[in-house]
Amino acid sequence: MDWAGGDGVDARERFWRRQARRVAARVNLGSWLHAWLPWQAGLTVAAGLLLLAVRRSGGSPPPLFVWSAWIVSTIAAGTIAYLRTRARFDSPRDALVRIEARLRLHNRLSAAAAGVGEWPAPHSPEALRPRWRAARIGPALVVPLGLLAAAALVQISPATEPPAEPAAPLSWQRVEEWLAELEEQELVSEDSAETWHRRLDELRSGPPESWYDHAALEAGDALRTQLGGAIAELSGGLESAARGVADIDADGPGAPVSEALLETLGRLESAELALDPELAATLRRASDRDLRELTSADMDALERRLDEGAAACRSLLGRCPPGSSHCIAVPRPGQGSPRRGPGPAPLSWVDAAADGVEPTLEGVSGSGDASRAALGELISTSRGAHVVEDGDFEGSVPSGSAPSGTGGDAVWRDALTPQEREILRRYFR
Amino acid sequence: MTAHASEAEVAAAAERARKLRGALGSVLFGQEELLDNVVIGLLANGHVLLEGLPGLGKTALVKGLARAAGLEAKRIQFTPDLLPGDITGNPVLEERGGDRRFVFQPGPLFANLVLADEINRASPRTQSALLEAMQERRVTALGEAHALPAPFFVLATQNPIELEGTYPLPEAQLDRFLFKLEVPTNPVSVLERIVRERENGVDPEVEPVLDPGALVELIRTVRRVFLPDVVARYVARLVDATHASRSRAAEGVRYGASPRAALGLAAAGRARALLDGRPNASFEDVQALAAPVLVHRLVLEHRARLAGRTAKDVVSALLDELPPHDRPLPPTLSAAAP
Repeated sequence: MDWAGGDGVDARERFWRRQARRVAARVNLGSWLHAWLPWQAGLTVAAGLLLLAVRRSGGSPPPLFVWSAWIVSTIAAGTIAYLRTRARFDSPRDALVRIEARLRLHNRLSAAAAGVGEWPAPHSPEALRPRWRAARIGPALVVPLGLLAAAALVQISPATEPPAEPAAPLSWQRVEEWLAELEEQELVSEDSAETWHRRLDELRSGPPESWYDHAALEAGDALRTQLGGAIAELSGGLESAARGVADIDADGPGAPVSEALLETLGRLESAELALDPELAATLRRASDRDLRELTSADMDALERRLDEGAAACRSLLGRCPPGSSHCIAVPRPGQGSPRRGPGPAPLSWVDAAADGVEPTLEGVSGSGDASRAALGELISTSRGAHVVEDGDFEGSVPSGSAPSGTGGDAVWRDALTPQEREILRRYFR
Repeated sequence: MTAHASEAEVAAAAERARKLRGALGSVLFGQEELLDNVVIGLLANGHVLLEGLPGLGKTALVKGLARAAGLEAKRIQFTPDLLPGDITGNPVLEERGGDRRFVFQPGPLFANLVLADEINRASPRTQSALLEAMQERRVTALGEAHALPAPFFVLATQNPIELEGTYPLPEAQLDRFLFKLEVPTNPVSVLERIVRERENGVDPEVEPVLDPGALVELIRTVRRVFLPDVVARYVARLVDATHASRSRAAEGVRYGASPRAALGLAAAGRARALLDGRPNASFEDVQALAAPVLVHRLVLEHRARLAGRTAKDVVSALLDELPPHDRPLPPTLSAAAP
């Protein structure tokens, strides 16, 4: 077969030099592959694992980033492998030596290349070129790529989010909100607020799974109740102080020291929710004639500040909608108890416009301004014999129910007061 | 630098060398490799040490070579009482016209081909007398150097048995021999031919095919045979690897081969190429001649010898260990099928 593609010395030389270039290229590629494959395998496996992790985590960073990183690192590894193996690359002359050593040509190619002797007759090109070792290259190339493809194609469900910390019980949230609001309004001292925070933190320090235990809920409710009581006490104190300031302001600069205001201030400072020290100092200056340095405008501002604080406290307790300045005290039915049915309850603050009720002064004795009355406030005291109306007592009533009649008896029993019933009894006697 | 021998020159020289080789074939039967190597040694201008049992035709080979090459040959039977002057020559007091002076009387060394028979039976002093003659191709007596005729070859023989009363050749002496060739025993077929075609005590008829001048010209042509760089490098790597710690094969070698061995191997490779009609030496030439050139130059450690390792084993292992091309294929490739 005419492997040289022609006859003559030139054709032979061209054939052998062409074959030498091809052999050199193959050997050099093999050397480069030998240096590059371990890097490539490692990078591909790492990319596969990274891709799996990214897909497992829901795609952040996006898989495109993994592919880009893999491609860039692969190119970089190839470049490094080339730079490291380049010094050992075969030249075409080296390839000639390989060929002649393999074919046992007695170094005739080297001699001919040096101008000694003739180029030998061409051989089959297939007999010249080294063969790829598929068993060595294939696994190193295919297995990592297979892993990468599997990492890209296999179905993966994103990892479920770790269970979040459960929401704190409602009572804790309420306590937190109250404290935050009080601190924002600068109504209480930092120390007293910190005390309440510490109590809340003690509850929160337990494991989340026990936050809803019966004991934890009881403790949270108790804390909320205590704080509510303290806020109610603060609210009452602030309202009382506002009235005192108003009285002093009305009396003018020569007004005597307000003992009631000083007493209220003492209660506010020693309460569980102690009054803000700055506000307390201002109050003290307003109550003491010798120390009184406040102008009428200052007194008005102080009164307004106290009123707003009291309103904020009432708002926290839900006794007056937030933002409303038209809160009045109205009677509300009691909740009853096993030993007592529904009856009169302490006054509740409601928004007159919102509730559509007619303001009354029921339940407030004395001549004080009802708008300034506070819950639980002692308005006045009186002395005298305690009159007991025997007819009013109807004996103990079973818990949860009131004695009721039927027909006209029901009207008689349920709609009339004891005095009216007595009048009717006499009339029909 | 002389030009490399052309293919035509090599072909013509190879023709003459083959005639010499053919003439020797009528002297010794069935010793083709031995005869090839003897001719190669001659063409490489080297000395040859023949080792073999008595009666294998060593002396007949030398005589036949001398006749075929048209060389003046002299035979020296080495004995323990042989003195250096007996082989190099002695100054003789000569009186001429009433004037007395010493005149150098050349010894048997002054011949083209010297057969040093049973060289290991002479004393070291006498053996060392050959050193200068073999290396410098001259003899110095009374401070005066006397050139030996060209070409000059020493073909020595030694008997591997009957070692009592012998003096093993020192390493320096051995290094002067290009080849150490073993003369093998003959198989039955060869013996039968010898019996049929030879008479006891009658030397075989050998026609001269060369003369000394032609032989010298052949030797010059051999020197002009192209030695590719890669082959020269292979020779160097091979000789270097004979030293301990330079290769795994050289484990147990106390002293490796000298640069003279590398020169000899390259020259022998050229001669083999010429005998083969090629204008360049090759890896194959080096591999074929590595054992004759290197074996007698390697000194093994005592432990290696006790373990049964021989210099021939070392050379064989070296050839296996060192590929001709010093750039192995990467592991991702395998060699093409030849």
